[in-house]
Amino acid sequence: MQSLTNISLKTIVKKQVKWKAKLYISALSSLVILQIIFGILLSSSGSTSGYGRGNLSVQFSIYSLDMFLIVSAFWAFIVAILFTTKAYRIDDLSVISSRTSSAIANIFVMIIYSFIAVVIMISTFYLKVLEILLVEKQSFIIENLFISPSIYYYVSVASVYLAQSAYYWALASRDRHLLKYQL
Amino acid sequence: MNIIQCEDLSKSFGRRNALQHVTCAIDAEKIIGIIGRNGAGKSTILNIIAGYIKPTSGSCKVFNENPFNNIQTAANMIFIDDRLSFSDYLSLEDILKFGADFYPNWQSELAYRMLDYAGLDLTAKHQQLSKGQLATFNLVYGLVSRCALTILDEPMNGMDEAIRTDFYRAILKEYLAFPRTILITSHHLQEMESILEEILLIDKGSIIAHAPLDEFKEQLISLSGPSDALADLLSETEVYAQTIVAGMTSAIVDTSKLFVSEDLLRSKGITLSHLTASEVCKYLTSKEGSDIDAIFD
Amino acid sequence: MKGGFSMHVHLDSTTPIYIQIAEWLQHEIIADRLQADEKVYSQYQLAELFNINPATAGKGLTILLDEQLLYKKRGLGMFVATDAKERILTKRRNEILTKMAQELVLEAKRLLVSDEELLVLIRKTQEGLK
Repeated sequence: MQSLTNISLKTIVKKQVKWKAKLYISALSSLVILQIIFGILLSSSGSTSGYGRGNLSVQFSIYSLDMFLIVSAFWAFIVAILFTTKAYRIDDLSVISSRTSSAIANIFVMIIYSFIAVVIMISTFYLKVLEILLVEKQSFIIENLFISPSIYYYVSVASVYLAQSAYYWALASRDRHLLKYQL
Repeated sequence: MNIIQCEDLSKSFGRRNALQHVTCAIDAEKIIGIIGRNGAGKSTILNIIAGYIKPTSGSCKVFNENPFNNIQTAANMIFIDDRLSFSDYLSLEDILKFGADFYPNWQSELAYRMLDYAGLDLTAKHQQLSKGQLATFNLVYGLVSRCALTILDEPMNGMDEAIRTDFYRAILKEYLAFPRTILITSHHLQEMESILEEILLIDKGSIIAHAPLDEFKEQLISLSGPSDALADLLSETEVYAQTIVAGMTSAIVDTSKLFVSEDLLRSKGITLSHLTASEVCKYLTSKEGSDIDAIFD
Repeated sequence: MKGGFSMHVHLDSTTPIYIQIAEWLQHEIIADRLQADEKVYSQYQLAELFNINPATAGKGLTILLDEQLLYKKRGLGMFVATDAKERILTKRRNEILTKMAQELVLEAKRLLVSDEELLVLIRKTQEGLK
């Protein structure tokens, strides 16, 4: 009789992660949309308070990153559950897999997406900074910003472009077949 | 050499008993037809063998291991049915690359040739295929993976007749080129009979018969002749079905319980004829005394 | 992929296929398409030729092997026995004629023809064909 093939769990998990990371990427588009809605458009303008004495008056507003974190955590939770639904699980059966390998692969994919999500978060944060600057037309004191104020314009724009283009490149390479059918 | 061993296997879905105390052994590198009416338990037992579901009681061993959540079993097994699905973002060509990445014996060249022969557009999506095209693609996917255990659950469902003939031959040729255990279920036994080595007949959750094809066919025999000549003969043996028209009786009997020679029968004017495998299946699984005519009487 | 395979086996679904294969092989031997001491088709070749399972083809070959119409050469396969053709012809003659004789006698009985009348009829037929 033919000899049976022996494949390690590690090899299968690696292969599954490779394919799932590419195929599940539409989950990140939902993150971007959520962040834009909640992070930029709907977020409050922070707390404002003012002091005045004589000729000098100071007004300061505090903006925070909280909304982004909350939205991202919520997204991660929902998506993790989504990956365990029947439609996704049934696709796993079409290749060599076991419940263990699929579960481990999903975890790795979520970790990878979390890193990407953080990058997206950072770029959206810079977008928010830009928005405030442009809309409120104020300069501001920045606490705990990654990069010093003098170059943040460039960095924020550049990182936004980088993140978004990387994301769309991934989408495009997956969807090039889809484009044919949209004619 | 047993590749699959089931011992007292039972499976219930809630109150429904799909399989009841099934015991069987399946040898390696044979093409076996799994036959049974709808709801008999065929898909259930195949799903257990594939390791997709767990039995309620009893055991099932594939390659001497429990197939459930087992990478080693999964690496040597493929289950093809109409529920085979892939990500919406993969074209057929991508799916072939997907399969090639996982299955070590994958035959890429052969896949392209078979799909080209069947006229399938490789840039199409799996979800966009018609029923017949889907069945064809899934079958090609299954054959080309060259897994030691290949399970095909109604693989020809939806295919037109011409392409069915071609693909039964494709299954045979692939089996000759790379021997493996192939379990096929189908409702068209007569079409696929010639490529089978054994038949496993399942009815109402139990295995009614498991034998090499010819032995299986020889289980029942048809006797016809004058009613009076047949009457006493039939009373001594097990009768599966009988029709009496104008003094002539036609009956299906159990061969092992028939102790008269063919010559003796001929001298009484009784003719003996063999049944096709699907006829034997029908008689072995039909309900006692039930008949479609009874509904219309 | 299309065509090229024989339809001999498909037509009769009640006679066991392996018997049909054995019959076909005997036909080939009588017709001199398979010569004495020539290598006979393997079960895989027969499987491909007739679109049947190789185990079934193998059974057909085994029947002939058991009747010593074929012999095995270790590691080389199965070959046609030297006297296979004559033995098949003799066997056929006996089988066919025996069967025909049985039917003739039975039919005569049914038609209420006596044994002597039957023998006279046979003689007459033989004379007529001379």
